[in-house]
Amino acid sequence: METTLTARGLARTYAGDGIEVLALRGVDLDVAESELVALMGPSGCGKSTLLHLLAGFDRPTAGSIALGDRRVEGLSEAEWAVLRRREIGFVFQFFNLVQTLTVAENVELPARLVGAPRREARRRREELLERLGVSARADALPSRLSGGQQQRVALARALVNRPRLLLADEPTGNLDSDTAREVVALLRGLGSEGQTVLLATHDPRVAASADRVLQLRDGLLVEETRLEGGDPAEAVVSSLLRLEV
Amino acid sequence: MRYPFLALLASGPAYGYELKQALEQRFGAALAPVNAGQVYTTLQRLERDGLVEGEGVPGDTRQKRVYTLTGAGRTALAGWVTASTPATRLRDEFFLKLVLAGTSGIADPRALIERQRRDVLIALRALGEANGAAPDPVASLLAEGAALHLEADLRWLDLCESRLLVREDTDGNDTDG
Repeated sequence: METTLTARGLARTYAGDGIEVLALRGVDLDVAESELVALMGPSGCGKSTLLHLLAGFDRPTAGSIALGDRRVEGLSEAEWAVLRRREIGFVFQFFNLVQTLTVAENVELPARLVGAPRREARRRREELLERLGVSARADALPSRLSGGQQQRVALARALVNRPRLLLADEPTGNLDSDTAREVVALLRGLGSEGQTVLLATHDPRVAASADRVLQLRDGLLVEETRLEGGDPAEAVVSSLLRLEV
Repeated sequence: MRYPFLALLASGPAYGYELKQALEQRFGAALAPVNAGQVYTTLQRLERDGLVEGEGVPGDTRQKRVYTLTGAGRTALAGWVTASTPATRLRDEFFLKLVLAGTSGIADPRALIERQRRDVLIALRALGEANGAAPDPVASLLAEGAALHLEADLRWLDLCESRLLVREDTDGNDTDG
């Protein structure tokens, strides 16, 4: 299977008041096409820093990043912006929707920015909002929506240009458990369309739905757990749940 | 199976096979398979202990018996249902292994935590899949409970990791930097 994302020796050091903070200390990462990978680790372990480097919001101090076989760590600000519109979707924990635009306009905006015709942008927006269960709120402003609804709109916006890679920072951090489950089901479904997902999460259930879980500690990947292809769910569940009367 | 049968008989007399069916209906997929032999052994013991009374059906050659809860049975049932219930067992055996591995050098505690975390994540994943596939109201409530316990297990493993393990890689890099 093709590799969507590769990072080698990725490091990020922040300098402040004469003290160097090693936020990321040499991360090697390979994410295959269609894979869903979860990053876990305590606050401050470097999860967000890693995602921000991979999305081009921040620049590494050392190391390389490749999207497919294209090296991207040296791209300019403008080139990253193009990449984020076309190939990398990003979902923030606190949504980052444009507050002065309606839900529909927020979702259609990235499609219009890459030159999709108005009708096509609208079609994709309607389909995504429908799948995410927020189509009834298309004409509302983001501030009128609940956190869960705003997160689903943010997800629709990130997916509207069908990016090959979706990066998500705590995508269920502000959702109740039922909404979180819907978002997770949607993320899992992206793999069957060839889309790749890398997300940071504190939520064990979100992590458990991934194909692979990576544990990050103090800026290093320390553990990798492959979850797909284990024992059939039925066997695990019956060993766990059966009431013996 | 003793007390569940007494509980079912509290609403009226029943045959053994009716009790088995009632259990299966109420607990659905959450129930381990119940075999008929177990059912009749349990009822015989309850009868011997005076908690139920069995009565043969006149003219029935298959020796079917209808069972009724006795006064003693009702008292025993009330005691069971209101007694405090021990909480789900903690992962004490894993904890023994973890602490002893650290002090004896027989295994790497980090590897033990990694293995345990993997097992818990796989179980959590399986619960999620099973719950999504065939929602049985009683079984899914039990599954939710199991998932919450597994989440707690994961948090506890993080705690074990941060309290018990001093990572070598951290020491190494500190001297570099």
